[in-house]
Amino acid sequence: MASMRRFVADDIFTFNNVNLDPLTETYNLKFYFSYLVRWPDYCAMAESPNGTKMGYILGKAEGKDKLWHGHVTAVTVAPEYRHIGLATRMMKLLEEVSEKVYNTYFVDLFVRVSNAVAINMYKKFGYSVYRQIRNYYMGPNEEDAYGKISTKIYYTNMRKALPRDVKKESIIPVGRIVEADELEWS
Amino acid sequence: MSDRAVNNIYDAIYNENYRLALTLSNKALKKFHNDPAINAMKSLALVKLEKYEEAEEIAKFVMESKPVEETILQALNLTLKDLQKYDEIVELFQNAFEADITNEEYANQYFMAITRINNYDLQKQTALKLNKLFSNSSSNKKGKYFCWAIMSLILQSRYQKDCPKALITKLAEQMILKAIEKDFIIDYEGLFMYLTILIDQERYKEALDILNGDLGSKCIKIETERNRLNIELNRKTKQWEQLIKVCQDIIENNDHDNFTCFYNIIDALFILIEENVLAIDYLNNETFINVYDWIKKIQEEELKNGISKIKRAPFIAEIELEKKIINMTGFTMDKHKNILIEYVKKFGDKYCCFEDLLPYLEILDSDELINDFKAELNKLIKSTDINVNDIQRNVNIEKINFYLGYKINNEEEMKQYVKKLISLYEETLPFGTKLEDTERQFGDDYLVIAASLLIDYYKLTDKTCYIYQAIAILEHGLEKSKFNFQFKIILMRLYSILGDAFRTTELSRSLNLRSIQFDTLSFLYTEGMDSLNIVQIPLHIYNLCLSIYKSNNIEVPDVITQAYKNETYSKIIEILDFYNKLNNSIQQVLFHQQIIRIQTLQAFNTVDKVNSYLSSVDDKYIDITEEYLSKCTDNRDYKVFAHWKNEKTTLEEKIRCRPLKNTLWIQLFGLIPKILKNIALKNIEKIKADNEKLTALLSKDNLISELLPSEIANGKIVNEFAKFVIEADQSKETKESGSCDAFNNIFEILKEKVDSLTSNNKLTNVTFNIIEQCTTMIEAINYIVLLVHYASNIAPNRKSRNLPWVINIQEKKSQFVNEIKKQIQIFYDYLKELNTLINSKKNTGIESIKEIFGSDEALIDNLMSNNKELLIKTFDQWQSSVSTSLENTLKETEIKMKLL
Repeated sequence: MASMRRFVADDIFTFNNVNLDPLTETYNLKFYFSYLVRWPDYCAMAESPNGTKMGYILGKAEGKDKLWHGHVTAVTVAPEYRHIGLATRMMKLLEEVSEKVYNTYFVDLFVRVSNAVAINMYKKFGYSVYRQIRNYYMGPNEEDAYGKISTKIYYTNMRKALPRDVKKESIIPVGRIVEADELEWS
Repeated sequence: MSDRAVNNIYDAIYNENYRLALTLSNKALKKFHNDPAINAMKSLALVKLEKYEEAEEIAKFVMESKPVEETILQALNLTLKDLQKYDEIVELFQNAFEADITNEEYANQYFMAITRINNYDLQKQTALKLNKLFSNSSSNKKGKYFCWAIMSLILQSRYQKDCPKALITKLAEQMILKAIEKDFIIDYEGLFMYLTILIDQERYKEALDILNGDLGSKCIKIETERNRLNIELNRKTKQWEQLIKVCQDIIENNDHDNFTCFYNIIDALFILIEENVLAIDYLNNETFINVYDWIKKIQEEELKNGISKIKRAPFIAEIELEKKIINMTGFTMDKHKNILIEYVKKFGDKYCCFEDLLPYLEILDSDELINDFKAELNKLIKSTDINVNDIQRNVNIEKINFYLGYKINNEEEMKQYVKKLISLYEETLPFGTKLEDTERQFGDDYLVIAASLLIDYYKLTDKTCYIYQAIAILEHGLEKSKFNFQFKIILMRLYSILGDAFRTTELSRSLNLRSIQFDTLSFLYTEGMDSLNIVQIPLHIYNLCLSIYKSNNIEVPDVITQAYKNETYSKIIEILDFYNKLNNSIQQVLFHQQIIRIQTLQAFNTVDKVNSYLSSVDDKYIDITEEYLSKCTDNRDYKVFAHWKNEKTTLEEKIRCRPLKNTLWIQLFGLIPKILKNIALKNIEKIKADNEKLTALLSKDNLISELLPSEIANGKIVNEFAKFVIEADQSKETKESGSCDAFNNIFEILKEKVDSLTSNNKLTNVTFNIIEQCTTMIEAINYIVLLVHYASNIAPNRKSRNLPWVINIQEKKSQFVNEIKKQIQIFYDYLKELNTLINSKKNTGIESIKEIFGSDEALIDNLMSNNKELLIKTFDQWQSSVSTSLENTLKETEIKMKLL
């Protein structure tokens, strides 16, 4: 029961009930705005009937040739609105934008290897494990949420092929752990 | 110029080694005298080292040579950006562009520089110039520069005062039609401009036709975006029947959970009823019946999906519809109670069930209905053989019960209810043993209700023991749910009420607030910190929080230029509005004024030192004009607090340690340092003007809504001080007889302050209120020290020292000082006694807690069976924080006694 709309600049003033959750990072203004002014259609906000922010998604399109893809940068739901299918709706929107606006081959995302709940959730959405990455950082302040600085964080890179990738080549697993500096984009 | 020298300096700057960059620049300048590239690099190094004046001087010197080299332009651009000299950046790139009008890069930089100075006319002209000069360039093949000109016109008509708006919008429309003809409008962003132009002219029907026509189809590829615009424009055109149809289509097209559409259908339906388009006898009205049946049909379709997959929107829609009927007819019936119960039955195991029902619980408008509802609701509580879903339902039911109101007749009943809630919470803990650290325990909300009840009792009785009990409960919950922000924000406020800066700060750090939250959430813990006489903690926090406004100034205009480059026009207005909203934030001025307040206190070791500090205070933060007040924005996020009670006063409002600072506070705390500054600078005309404002402010009858009595009293002392200065300078009567009322008036104000403070029951009620009164007392004494110093030097020159009026004033001053000293001594003794008492309780643990806070022993023992150490730590931290405040005030009082 959410109203989905574009993420607008003013939301930054009022997304606190979502962002005070420890797993949601609050970035500097430049971060949000660089997404809004480059990929405005990839950034969506879910609002409850009384205007409370329920969650949001930020994404982008990047890569070259057959690696041209949509990327889920952040998807987050406020604790009180979990388990009602909101993440599914937001992911579907991002996939629709990837397919219809940017015509990408696939959508990908990164998730901590240890976050089994999230990995299973993405599997339900049709994502599969493409590769695991060593020493990858999602953001400069990541360690703060856990109160410690971790030097080695393992991430799982998951992908879902879109109709443009007819043969589903983009999701064939790499089959080995790769280093962060081997990534095609950062 | 030496490329090598410039490269070395550039490398040093790139590596953020600005000192090295400056050294290298100075060295290179000895060899390459006045070289503009090296000087440009030097100015950048200087600005990074915060040597702004020197940086500006060198930058201006380089600009005189009208540079065109890329290195120089970029170095100067960065320097001038940091100096916020945006007009100069325009000039810089204008020169470069005019020197080579074939250089598209400089032309772009020139346009981007203009976007920062809000000169929309120049912006439009420049965009058109670019369109003409670079009509065939690859970056302009989709008419980018032409679209920049259109966007400039849209901004001009919206933001530029005194411009012919209608004419400008018309011109924008002509240009967008031309852009469509040339196939420049191909996506959402281009269409956005066209729709904005039409909407700004209130031509909604045409906008709707465009949206649903070929252009709309071509530009909007995402269905939800088209739907959103469709609804918005149908509302604006007031085509209610059409709106109902559009929304029904959206819902039927596999979007049953779209509450916005249901809401719009129901809203449109009742607008039609109100407009008499439909018969008042709505039950026999065909459209009404159709909509009602249609909602029921969607519900039935959902029910086929199985209980775990049912969408909530069709069911809330029915409640919304019934609410509207009740509003229209005034009749509430049993069936309304039943649909609420049915909703809880279906969705009670979702956390958001309570939030969903919040707007509708008020439809139960009689005690009978509420009691029946509660009775049925409580039958849904499951207490044996329960699972996580049952717990969630039970929690929701408790929250609904709490919202509807409990009859609590006395303290004992309240305590019983609190104990019941704690026990319910404890029963949920075994279900959460496998939860991640970052997750909340299932029963956390029971504790929030318990704390809310205790807070209500604190408000009723003013007994601090309830605050301490609420703290104990929430700290206990925080042990299990380490990241529950609701616990933390309530706790921060409760510690603020106790005057404990240490634990408040610790909790605020654990929230990991950053960036925009410095503006929107810092008020949760900073409101009273400037009154505790603990210098370093608030200064650090305020300065850290101010970084968001610097980011706004430096980063956000850059982002707007990016929006032009990326042609994402829909974001330009949004981000401009965001920039202004943050730039005009009341919180920004509050931070500056709180810093000034603390630094004034800090500088007060000698009269010379404080006068020197006051003289250096920037008027920008203390000269609060009417213009500023009119555009001032309040971005503080009050809604982040749980508000689960059907009351006008929110939980956030109940747990403020002081009235919320707002425009009255910033006026007073602008005028106090401003008047003192001008007294130090002997600027009588400004003192007169500001003291008139202060007199007017102090005569307002709503002062108490934002200001503490102690702050108002201090305002009155400064007001009297300023009157004394003005009279001593101008009054014939003063000059003849030395008459002045200031001494008497100020003495009375101070005496009242001392009486009020020392009448407090010393230990049991030591809270923020006592500590702030001590801090404002020392501020009052400071102002008196300044007055005495001023009076001592009142003779215009050496010769006039023996004039009768001067002698008369000196005599009155001496009497005043004697009387004041007696009051200060009383204050000093009080402080000392209080501090000794608090220190004597150090490390006495749980016994002291019970003694000082009168807590319910059984409750605390029960709660703290495993958490005694936590409670003791909490007490020790409070003791340490309060003692630091009092000791600082004691030391300063000793200094002031010597200065008098």
